[in-house]
Amino acid sequence: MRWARARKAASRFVRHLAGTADSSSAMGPGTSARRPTTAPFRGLVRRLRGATQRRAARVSGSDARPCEAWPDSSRRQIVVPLEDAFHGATRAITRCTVQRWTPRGNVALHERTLRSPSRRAFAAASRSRLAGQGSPGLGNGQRGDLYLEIEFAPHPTWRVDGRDLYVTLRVAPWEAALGAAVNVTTPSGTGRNERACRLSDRPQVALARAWHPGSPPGDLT
Amino acid sequence: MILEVVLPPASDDKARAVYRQMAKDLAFDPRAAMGANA
Repeated sequence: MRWARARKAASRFVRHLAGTADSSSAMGPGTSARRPTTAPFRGLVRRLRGATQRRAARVSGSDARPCEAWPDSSRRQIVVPLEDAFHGATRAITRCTVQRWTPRGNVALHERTLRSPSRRAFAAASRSRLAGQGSPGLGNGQRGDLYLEIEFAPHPTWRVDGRDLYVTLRVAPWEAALGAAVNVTTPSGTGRNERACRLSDRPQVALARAWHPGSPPGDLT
Repeated sequence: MILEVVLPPASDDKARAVYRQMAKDLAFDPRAAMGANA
């Protein structure tokens, strides 16, 4: 369809050039000074006309193949709260993609909003692939994939390093000297997620399997 | 410059008694500003 419009436009342009050349040459003896400037374009007009006709015949012929192209996969970075890694969340992702061509030949952008079921995706700050949610292809080309690069927003209490979770625990001098058992509440909530931590002379105490999202789970330190 | 606070070790009964008396008299909760617990 676009080729038909392009062919018509090219034909109009060629006719315009040819008409200009013909009218210039038929303007009479008084305008003979313009003949040398239009005459060299006749060959160009013939070549343009021939190329256009050959191309139109090739495109509209029975052996014409539709144009197909698969786009590259798209990437999108999203920042989520740390609590979403435990509780799960759904994020709306708005993307501007090339959706169609307007009748005038311009590209129209289209906003798509994806809703990502994200407990699995947010299990650990990593990369998640949404198949078929990327940029559209050309012609009959399929959509590419959308890769979500998930990062955790800075948290006032917790610090994430890979799969491990760090927290600075305040202790009193007598707790540090005599040792103490304190409860540490993980970001996953309260109750059974409280971990008894035995303080000792070590500056870092690891609570194995406290940081449960992800496989394998990281440590709470 | 990094300051590091070093505590006397509770290596004998007298030192441990001092720390216990400190905990009893001061009634200080270092994690009170951090919420319920950590």
